[in-house]
Amino acid sequence: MSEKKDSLLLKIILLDNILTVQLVLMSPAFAASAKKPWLCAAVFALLFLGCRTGLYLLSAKKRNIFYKTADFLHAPIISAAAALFFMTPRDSLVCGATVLLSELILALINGRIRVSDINPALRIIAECISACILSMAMLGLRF
Amino acid sequence: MDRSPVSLSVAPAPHVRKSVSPDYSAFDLLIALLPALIIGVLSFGARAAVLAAVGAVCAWLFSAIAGLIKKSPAWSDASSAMTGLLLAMLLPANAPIFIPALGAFVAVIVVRELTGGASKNIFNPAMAAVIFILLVFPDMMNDLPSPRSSLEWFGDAPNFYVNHLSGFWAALSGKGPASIGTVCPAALIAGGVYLLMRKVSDRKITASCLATAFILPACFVSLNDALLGIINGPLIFTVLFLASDPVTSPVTSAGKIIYGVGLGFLAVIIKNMGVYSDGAGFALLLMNTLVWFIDLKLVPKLGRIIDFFADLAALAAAGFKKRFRREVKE
Repeated sequence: MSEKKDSLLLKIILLDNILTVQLVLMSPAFAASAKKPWLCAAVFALLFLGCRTGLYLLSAKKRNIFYKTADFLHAPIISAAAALFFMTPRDSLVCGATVLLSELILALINGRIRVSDINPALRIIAECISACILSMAMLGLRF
Repeated sequence: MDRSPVSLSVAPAPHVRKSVSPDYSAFDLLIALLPALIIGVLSFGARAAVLAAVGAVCAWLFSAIAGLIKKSPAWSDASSAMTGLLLAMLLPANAPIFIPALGAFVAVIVVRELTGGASKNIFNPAMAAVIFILLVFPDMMNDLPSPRSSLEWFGDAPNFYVNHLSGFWAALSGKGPASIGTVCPAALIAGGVYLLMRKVSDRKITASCLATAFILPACFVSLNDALLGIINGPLIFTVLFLASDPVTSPVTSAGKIIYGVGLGFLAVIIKNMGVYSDGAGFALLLMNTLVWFIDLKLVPKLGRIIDFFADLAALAAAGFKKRFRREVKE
């Protein structure tokens, strides 16, 4: 029973994070400046999906501080690595910093959504929309 | 000891402490927008009026449909119509007719209703819709038409301005390419002053934002650029008409100042260093995301210091006013 619960929780967290954060958040910004946008978007999607799945599978049994920190930091690191693959070291640093900032802000938004009395069924939609709007706002920070 | 339970009323923003309804504020907003809207229609023709009407009507309709689905119809929701009008005024006059309708859908259904409904939305609906349209149709949004003829509503400027600030005066009277509502910053300022007097716009947010948007370029670029910067149409529009939205701005006094400073700072940075010509919209959305953090985390730590300086400024202003009156009497 406990394993089933864990599995369900895992799926929910996975879906939540995949839908909410990075795929929608950063791929448009990078795809816009890459030579082959579709390839860039595909690599990003695979990297994020693979890393998140791996991380959750590894840490499902042991939810500790390390898991939370890794959850928070892996996206900036992968973004920086992917940007390095496509662009310059300077771009890579900027990408990492931008994604880290997005993660921080998104955590704040999600916190606010959770404290409000929004219908729980709509919460995941609200988080996705917030992530999309935040990604639009972050595009303004392209210097 | 009396241990009777205390009755606490918990409700989302806006926390209005006087007998005004959102529709009443919307009426004030409409009055404040009228000068800019009229000049926009005179400058760009009837098409500007059609776009504004489509935006307002569609936003009202979408709000009514959402109300029906939620089984709480609000047929007299004037604030939704204002959202549509606001976003239409930030569009270029040559935009296709479906654009304000699309913007109204994004603003009312996606940004407002799907994130919790009225008074629970995190982002300003009108500005989020405008940024969405800017990113989806960049060519259309960057192709701003010029007004039909130079507007000379204010006649010749005083010699002082002509000699020193001719660019400033030209920008204030509105002669360059702009969207419908931002073609004449002077009209926006007039409407903004009305809103400030009616206390619909917040003085702290407005003053701190404009002061930051002036001081930064004045220190690092030039005084003329700083003056031109603060009468930039989109910035004025954002600060006076959108930033003080009670749902998406802080409720604490110190929080409002932090919010205004952050808005001004980001707007200047994005405008001067970013790839977009105007940074106020992006800055507003970014600051909207931080409202919760400012009110609950930052203000308890920095609030006392900011309140001290705010009190100091208020005291200095009161002293200056008293001295000015005395000198006038003498």
